[in-house]
Amino acid sequence: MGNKVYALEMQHIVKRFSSFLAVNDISIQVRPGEVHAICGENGAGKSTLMKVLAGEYPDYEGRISIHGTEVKLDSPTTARRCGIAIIHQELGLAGPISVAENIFAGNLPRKKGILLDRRKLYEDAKKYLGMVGLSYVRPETLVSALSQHEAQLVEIAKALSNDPKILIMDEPTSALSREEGKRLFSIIEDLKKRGLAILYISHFLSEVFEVSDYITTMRDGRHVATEAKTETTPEKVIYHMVGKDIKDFYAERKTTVGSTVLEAKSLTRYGFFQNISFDVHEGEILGICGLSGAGRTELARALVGIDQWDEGELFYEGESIRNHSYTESIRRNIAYLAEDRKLQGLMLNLPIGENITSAKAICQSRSFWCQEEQEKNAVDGLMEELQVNPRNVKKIVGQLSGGNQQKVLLAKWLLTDPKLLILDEPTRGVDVGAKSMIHEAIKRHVDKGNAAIIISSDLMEVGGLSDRVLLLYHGRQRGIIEKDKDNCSEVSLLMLANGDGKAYEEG
Amino acid sequence: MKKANILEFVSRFGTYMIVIILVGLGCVISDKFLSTTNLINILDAVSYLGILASGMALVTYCGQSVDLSTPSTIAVASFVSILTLRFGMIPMILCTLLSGALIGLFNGLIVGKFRINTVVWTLAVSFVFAGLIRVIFGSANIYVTTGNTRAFEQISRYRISGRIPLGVVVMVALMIGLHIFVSRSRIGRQLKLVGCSELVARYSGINVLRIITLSFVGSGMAAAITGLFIASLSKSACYNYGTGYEFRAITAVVLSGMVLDGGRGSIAGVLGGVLAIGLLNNIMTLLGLNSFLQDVVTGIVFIVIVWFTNYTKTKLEALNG
Repeated sequence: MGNKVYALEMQHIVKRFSSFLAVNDISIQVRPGEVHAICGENGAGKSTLMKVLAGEYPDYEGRISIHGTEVKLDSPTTARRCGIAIIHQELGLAGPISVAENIFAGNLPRKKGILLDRRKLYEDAKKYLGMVGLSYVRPETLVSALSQHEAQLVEIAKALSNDPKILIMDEPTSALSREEGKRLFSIIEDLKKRGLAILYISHFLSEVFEVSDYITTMRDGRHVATEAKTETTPEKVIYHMVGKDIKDFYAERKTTVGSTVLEAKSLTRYGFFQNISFDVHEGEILGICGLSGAGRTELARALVGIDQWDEGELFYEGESIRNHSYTESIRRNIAYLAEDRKLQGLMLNLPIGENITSAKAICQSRSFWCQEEQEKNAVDGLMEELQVNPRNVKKIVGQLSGGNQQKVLLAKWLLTDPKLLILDEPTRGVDVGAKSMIHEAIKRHVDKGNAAIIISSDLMEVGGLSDRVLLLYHGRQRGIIEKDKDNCSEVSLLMLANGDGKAYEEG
Repeated sequence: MKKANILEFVSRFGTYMIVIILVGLGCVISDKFLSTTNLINILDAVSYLGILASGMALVTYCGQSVDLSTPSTIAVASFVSILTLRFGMIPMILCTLLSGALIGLFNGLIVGKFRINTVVWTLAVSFVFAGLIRVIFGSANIYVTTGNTRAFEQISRYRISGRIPLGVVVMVALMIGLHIFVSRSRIGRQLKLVGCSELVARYSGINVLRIITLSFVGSGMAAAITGLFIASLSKSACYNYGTGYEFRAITAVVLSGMVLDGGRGSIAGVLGGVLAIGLLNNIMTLLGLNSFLQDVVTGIVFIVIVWFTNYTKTKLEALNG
């Protein structure tokens, strides 16, 4: 490691989106043969920083040097020429084409300038396949015939074929099993020995501590800390990621807990969730936390009656409910804000007004005539409260920004005056302003003596809003964390949601 | 934004514009065009089509494209009316309506529950029923023999105050009723929401299966009324009485500004579509075009309108983002 010259040196990188600073003064140095991990929550600015390196944002500020030479990464082509290769989260391979052709896509070897030189193509492909431990794969195999894990490795081979000096890996294990992950790590070790500098982005702290030499933590676009792996612990990294000022961000809410609204007793739906028990009271917000695929949405869908469950009992206001339909739930004043606002939540080609009244005036009422007009004042009030922009009930919802669409979706369900409000990812893809507006509205609604259940991948959101948090891991309940008793609950959330608890044990 | 407004206006009121243009054209072609007799004739000629199309529009509005089982529903209804006439007029009418409702119920439950392609399913149903009729009754006409045949004949022949045919009255009343029902009632709004997006409708608490089934029942009953009128007119029942009606009804629905994807348009628009077809045929008759040529023109109009509504829809969607 005695090398003095950094493979990659970023100094005071800034990237703004109009007035919003997505990356705010980040400096990172990586030596050849070193793995540098970048940690941070969703929206911390990791991806934006990586896109700067990929040359996708030519309007960044700051200096970037590669092996001591300053470069201006103004296009993806420049970035590639500078030896930067990115392996994306989503696979970028063409299924019906052979492995070899995928590896050399855009750069196929030719004979006499026109004809494809197949022999050279396959020989070269073999070389790179060997580097990623796929020497058993024949280069003419179609990518669609490979497993996802192998395809991921082909993606790495493709990146290596450009002879990069710096390799950026964005969540490379998100689609891999543990065993496959292990194999990937040994390949990373090989690549390190070849002198590549690797930037490694991952949510999984256990992995980060396994592969990296240095760990940089980002929060809200800012640089929080860069530490050698040997000098830090998962707790410290999480602490950096989450920050200590959460309590300021989510102002303390005075909770006056009333009677039980919903109680689940060992609720089980085979293959999705098992033995889930919890209760939620009037004036209380219960968070449900877990990685995606942990059974959060499936649980919510069962609670509101979209799906049925196999075993266990559910009580709503003391009354046992079983095989209730979703329509009945809405009539009982249970509301479910579905996860995907564009597919499940809103009629994009209808105006705001008709969307907001669609649950109450049309589905909750029992009268023959549609009494949309009677809701006019309530709709105007909600639009004012949530500051829906524009405040014009005739505006087509599809023309609104994501944040305003989400506000309309919340207004639609708040209009039904739900006793129990279940929110599935209430602020996904929403700007900060709309987010806090939505949070305030949820809190106000709960303070009126209603209950809410919040499902979110945003741990700050779950931790900041909830009074208690139910932890799900692979469909199983890992416990319920009381906010008052645990003064740094966000940290423990992240630990527990992170999976096998390895990070927890290591600390 | 301005372009979007123009397109929106055209997709909403285009059918009335066509009606106005055709009326103007008719005035130019013949001085008899605007006579009361001719106008009543135009309405009379499209009244059965109008009844059928207003029911079929429910299926389209609900996002289920088109109900192609109507020709056989018309045929079945004509048989039911003739066979049940012996029990009296009122039971006969109820039984006829019931037969249409049952076919609609069957279609709606199957399409709504198993998510089968509506066009394929209703086409198959049409085939099966037409076949069944021929198996049971043969291909020949069955004539009215028992019961109050005079009253039965009068259904299609009676003219209120000697001028306005009953069919026209039924068509107008049905359209006004359905228009108010669809635009004002809670069920009508649910039809629209299901037509806009079934998934969102489901997540809003709408019983989508029930709404889809209801739309097919409406379509089936409207087809049954049409069948009753046709049976009364010809004093008989036959397996092929509905043939050709479905295509003209679809043309009327599409002309009305209802997009086949659902959720747009209104029943009042269907009246416009039906009138446009009636006017077009009337003008062609006044011009002396034979009926085969009229079919060709109607088909071409259909193609142009479908292309045009598709064009405005994609343009609107592009503008709306």
